[in-house]
Amino acid sequence: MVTGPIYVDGAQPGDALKIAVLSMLPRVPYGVVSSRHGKGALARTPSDGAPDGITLDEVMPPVATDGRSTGDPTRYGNVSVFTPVRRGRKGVPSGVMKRGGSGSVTFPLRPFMGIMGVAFTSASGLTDPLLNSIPPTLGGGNIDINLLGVGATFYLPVFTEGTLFYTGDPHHAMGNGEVALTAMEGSLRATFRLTVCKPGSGDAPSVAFHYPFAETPEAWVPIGLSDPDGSGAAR
Amino acid sequence: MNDLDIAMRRAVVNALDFLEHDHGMDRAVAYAYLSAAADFKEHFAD
Repeated sequence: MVTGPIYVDGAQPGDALKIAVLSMLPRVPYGVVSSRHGKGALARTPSDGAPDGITLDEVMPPVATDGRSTGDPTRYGNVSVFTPVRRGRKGVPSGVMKRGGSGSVTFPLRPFMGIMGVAFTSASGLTDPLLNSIPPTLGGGNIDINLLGVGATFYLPVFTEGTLFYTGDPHHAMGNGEVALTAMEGSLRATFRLTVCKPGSGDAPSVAFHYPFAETPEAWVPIGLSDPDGSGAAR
Repeated sequence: MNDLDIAMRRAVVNALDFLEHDHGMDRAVAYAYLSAAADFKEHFAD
């Protein structure tokens, strides 16, 4: 789900928007991790072979359970793991998954929004491929950086008056690589402080006036995108 | 094909084998667990 846009008073093209992540409260005590559509780090190639470095036996989802050719989504072999949230060690909210017959594994939640963005281009209509919400662009969007939880700051260039901030794709936790395709997806109540930074003010890193940039309490986070203007989405 | 992608796939398969055979996790659940909870890091050797 994506929500917005939010018009930010005073934001003009050439400015940078500073997005401070103030809180990320889980709204439900569960999330879901999915491996779908035959995607993920160990997926078969488009020609149904094994990707370089692994064998067909090692492909996930297993070739024997991949029923995508049936055209029936209930037989695709998709896997969605329902993941309850419990208070773990020292009261830290944790995701819980099954281990063996009766055991479990837990991991601490690190909630963040996968999508944080601003309007960055104009298009002919609501379904124009340039407005595809999947690929991240110079206007941010589906940036999926698990460092951007509470305490982090995300910076985006402003392309239009009011900048039109939007956010969505809440994650309770995500491992780097997101190997099965998705994070632990679950509803969050997110609170941000939005600040307009003017060029030359020193209020934002210089890069942030033309490219997404981020910082955490521990680190600066330079970002690189493979298709920054979203043109690949239109191909 | 990027060598790091090959190394990454091998790391994921080895992690799945470990969770399934040493810890009794269902392989599909282990895959989901890695997706939500494990950080895979790439490193250039030179």
